[in-house]
Amino acid sequence: MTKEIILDVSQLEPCEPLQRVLEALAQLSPGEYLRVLHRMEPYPLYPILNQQGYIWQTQPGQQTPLEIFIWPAHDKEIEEMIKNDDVSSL
Amino acid sequence: MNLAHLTLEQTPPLSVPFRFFLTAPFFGILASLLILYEGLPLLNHRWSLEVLALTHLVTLGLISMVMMGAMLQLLPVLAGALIPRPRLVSTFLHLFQTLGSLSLSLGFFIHHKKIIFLGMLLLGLGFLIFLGLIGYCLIKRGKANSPIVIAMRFALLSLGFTVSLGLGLGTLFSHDVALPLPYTLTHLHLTWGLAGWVGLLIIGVAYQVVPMFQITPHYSPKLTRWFVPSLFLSLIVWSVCYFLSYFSFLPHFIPQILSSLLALGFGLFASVTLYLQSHRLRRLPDVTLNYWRVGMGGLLLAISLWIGGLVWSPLTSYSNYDLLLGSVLIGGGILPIIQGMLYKIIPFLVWLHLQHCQLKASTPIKLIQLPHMKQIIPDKQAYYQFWMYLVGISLFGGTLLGLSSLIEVAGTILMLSFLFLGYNLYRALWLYLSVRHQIIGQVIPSGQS
Repeated sequence: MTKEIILDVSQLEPCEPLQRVLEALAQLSPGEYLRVLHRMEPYPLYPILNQQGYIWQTQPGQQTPLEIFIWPAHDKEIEEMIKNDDVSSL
Repeated sequence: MNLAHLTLEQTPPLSVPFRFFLTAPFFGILASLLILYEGLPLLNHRWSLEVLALTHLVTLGLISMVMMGAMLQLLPVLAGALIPRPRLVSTFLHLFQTLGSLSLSLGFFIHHKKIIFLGMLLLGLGFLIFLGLIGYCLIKRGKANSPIVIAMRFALLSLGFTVSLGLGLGTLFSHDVALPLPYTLTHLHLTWGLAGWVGLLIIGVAYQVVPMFQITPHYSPKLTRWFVPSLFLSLIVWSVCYFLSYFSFLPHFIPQILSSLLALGFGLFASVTLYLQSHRLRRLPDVTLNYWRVGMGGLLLAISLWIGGLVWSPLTSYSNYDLLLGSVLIGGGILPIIQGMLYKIIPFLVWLHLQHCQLKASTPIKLIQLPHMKQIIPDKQAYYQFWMYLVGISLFGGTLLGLSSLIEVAGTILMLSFLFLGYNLYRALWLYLSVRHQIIGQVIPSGQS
């Protein structure tokens, strides 16, 4: 059973979004993934996600300009769901 | 504009911009000391050498110092133009800029032409390297054509004009041309310096930092596309007309109308910025926002004074009109914007470099909790410094409006505000070094370090 955790950082100034994302990732339970609502692409975040063993997918959002899906690299179920665009619309 | 290109890999070493940023407060302290030392006689004449010393301490040692550091920082990350050997280049540029600004101002202060010449030589060399290198990077290597990069190009061209005119004026002065120096060249020099080099770069940087750090809506692309090129073109047309009117080939009112239009252009920028700030998404107190609002207010006041002087000539006959106009523009407009930017850029760079350091050093499991931006320079301290500066510069304005006995108090408070600014910035550096030491210490056991 997968569960989506939504994190809206669209109204935070740099570097708060990155810190909030890292804090939220540290609290993810197995089967959970993060859906980050952002207003700009968080390039400094990506190498950290890589190093920490996460995969991400960035796409245009509905409420905010961008949405970034982040999940553990080993969780193939979540990966398949997100890659197939099978995530609930906001 | 967005943060898309602000990557960790492209950002130059922290020491590259920091050496410029951390030197700037010293020139603010020196300028305040000059006000204190000279006292009232400083305000006697706009063209006195002491006033030239003061203006060059501020415009070269403080404003241009910060702007050079900012350009060296922003160029690689925003334009994708990597500067070769950034540490070596910034060392030389910083050295020339610091010693040149000191020598030129000292030469003016003690009326010593050889020291003025030495200052010109050092500044000329430094600016030549800066213009050549940054110009090369922007033309040959710069990939992006974003509004900020376009603004950088025009600001750099303006700097070229400013420096050429400055060197020309210095040469005239060192060849015993009587003071006041030819007004036409002097006005061109200061207009290209303040409106071109400083003004256009501030506009370009605002496109980036106002929406990003103050969480405002973006500047309209319709505005950002044409605004800086139009202002630059207006400056060129104004310069030609101003020069022609000096030789009576054109009536004087033509360059005056053009200068008013130019001033209104900057007024439009200030008004749009204030409008965007009033529509910011996150309404939290922020010292950078306060500094920017004061700066935009100062800019609008200076524009009103300038246009007021053109349409109502008795205003310009007020004995301190020139000094008041310069003080409102530089002290009330530009310096608040520069200080506001320092309070945002410095904590951000400290955090960015610590993040980079951690990324390179840490194992995948262990990450140190990095200080956030509000911890790097605490709000409370930044606010104290902001109010101190605001009181100091207001009192200085008061002395120009007739409250001359306030000059010592104004000089003292301004000096304390720059000391406090220096303390806040060096505290950020100290925090960076201590956290970096902690990160490295985690990787290398103490016995092996």
